[in-house]
Amino acid sequence: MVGKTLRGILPGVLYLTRKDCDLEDGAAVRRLFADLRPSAVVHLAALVGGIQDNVSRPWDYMIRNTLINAHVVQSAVETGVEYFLGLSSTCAYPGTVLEYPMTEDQLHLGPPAMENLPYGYSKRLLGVSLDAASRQCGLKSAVLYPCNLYGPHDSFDGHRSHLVAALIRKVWNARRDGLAELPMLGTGRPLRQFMLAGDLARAIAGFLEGRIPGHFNVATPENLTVDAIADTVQRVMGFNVPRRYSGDLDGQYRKDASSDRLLAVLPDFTFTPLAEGVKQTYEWYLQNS
Amino acid sequence: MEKHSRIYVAGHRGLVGSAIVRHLRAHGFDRLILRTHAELDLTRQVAVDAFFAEEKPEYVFMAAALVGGIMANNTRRADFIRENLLVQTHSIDAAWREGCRKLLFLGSSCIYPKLAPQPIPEDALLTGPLEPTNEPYAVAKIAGLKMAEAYRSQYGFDAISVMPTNLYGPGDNFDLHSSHVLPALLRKFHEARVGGEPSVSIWGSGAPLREFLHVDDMAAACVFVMQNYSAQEIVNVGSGEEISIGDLARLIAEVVGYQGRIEFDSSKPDGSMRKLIDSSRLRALGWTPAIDLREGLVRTYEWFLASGSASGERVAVLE
Repeated sequence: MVGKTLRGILPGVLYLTRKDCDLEDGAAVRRLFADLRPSAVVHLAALVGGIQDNVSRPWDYMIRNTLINAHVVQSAVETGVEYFLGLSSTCAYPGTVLEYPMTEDQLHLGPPAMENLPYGYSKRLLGVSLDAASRQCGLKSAVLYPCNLYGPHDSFDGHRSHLVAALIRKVWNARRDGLAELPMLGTGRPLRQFMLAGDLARAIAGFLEGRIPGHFNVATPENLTVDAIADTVQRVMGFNVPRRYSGDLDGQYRKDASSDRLLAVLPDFTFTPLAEGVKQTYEWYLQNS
Repeated sequence: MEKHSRIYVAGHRGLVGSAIVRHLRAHGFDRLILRTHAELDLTRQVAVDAFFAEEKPEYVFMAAALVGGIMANNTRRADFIRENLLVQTHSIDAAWREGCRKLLFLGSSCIYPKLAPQPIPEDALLTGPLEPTNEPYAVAKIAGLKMAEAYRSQYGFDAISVMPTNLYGPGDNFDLHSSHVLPALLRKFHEARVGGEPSVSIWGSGAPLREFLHVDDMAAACVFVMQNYSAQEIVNVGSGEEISIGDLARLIAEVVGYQGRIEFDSSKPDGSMRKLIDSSRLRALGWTPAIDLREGLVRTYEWFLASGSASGERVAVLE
């Protein structure tokens, strides 16, 4: 989703998908870098998914992300890449910290949340790797820690989709089936930051342009309950039936991150309000599903 | 020109200058005098005079010039006429005053009128209006070759001028925005192969005919005329081989290993339908090119990959 959105913002850049190179194959990554000799690399590639998927196949999340990151950073060091932008995640942060919103200096103050521990550690290790490569080999790098994302090109297929995309599909189906209530999992009380993927793409373009190094959260200031997010989606889609919650698979209560450091280096950066972003996403869904 | 002659190659980091240096070194010339732009700014007469007075080169290859594609030529018109006039005027004059035995001035086929007969003979010079987009550059080059001619007739200075066709090869500019058609196509097909793109779209019908000469052949020709030609008339240096843009694209795709489709966008302009210079004067002197286009492209692509030109300011996004 981020790559596809980035294409609209950064043309004239080479986009490589898994069809071009299997990043889990170290030799293939070496060949790719030797062939391309990029001066800058934006590394977005990862196995990503919702909580269910993380819980059901932890080994895949651990090994695949760890291998991909190690190969890509290693080849970047070996071929003298000038600037490396790696995409981490707020999942790399401790499952709980003493103070919210989370700031970049809290990154190593505890283990990632248990339900996606392998994914969280692999994403934290990406930042650790890049710091080490920077210190020893001079690889200039930035690591971005985005909150949850949604937007056009999102995955709406159900079991692997995140909250906003899943809600759009759920509300769509509920209206189609004429439901009087919207069935929701969990309690609706956890707080979440959902950011339009286009915002992250703009941030990436800004870091790339300025070759800015360091660790930066990229998270919308709207830290809303799941219930409020569902309400926004329903309003945008015009289907305002009551929501009925069941079960207790809530995940973390809150994991909001602060973008103060980002705004210090990109002072003109703005975040798209949730209602506006959901509207764009719903329009895309209507045209593409 | 002998193996131990003092030879100054002006512009030795450029496409032609670097090829001349390679050629001279490969043939045992061991007293080359080279200055980077930072070491010697040829637009500053005091610096140029001091350099020639100090080094007193016996032979000079004048391959230094401000060059660029259509865009740069058209938008930086003042820069192109000023820089080139200054560089060549100071150098030719200082070379003569400091006792240089022979100087080769490098022109360009764009000195010929826009509507010159094809293939263009040397005597088409100054018979009609120039292509307006690069007129400042062409006028500077014409002034250079006329200066060489005048220094020969008034002072007996052995200055000669050559006019190359489209050149390509190692050291070329592969930037997509400012490069010439051949390096631009090479880069385009390379990126299409690496990016797995199903098709490549080429501007125009693919029908226009163009002539290309490998820069190593150009360097060999420069050294050849330096050793075998002394006269007022300018000398065209071309391969004499024409190829359509369409066939060139197919050949480059083959060399690069691109297997997708090639599409021609006929809604885009073609430019002139034929551009070929008449190199019979040079052939009559006994010089012929040695590198055919396919072999030249293979070498150029190898250089492109090895040099890091494939990257330039390249950003790779891994999704």
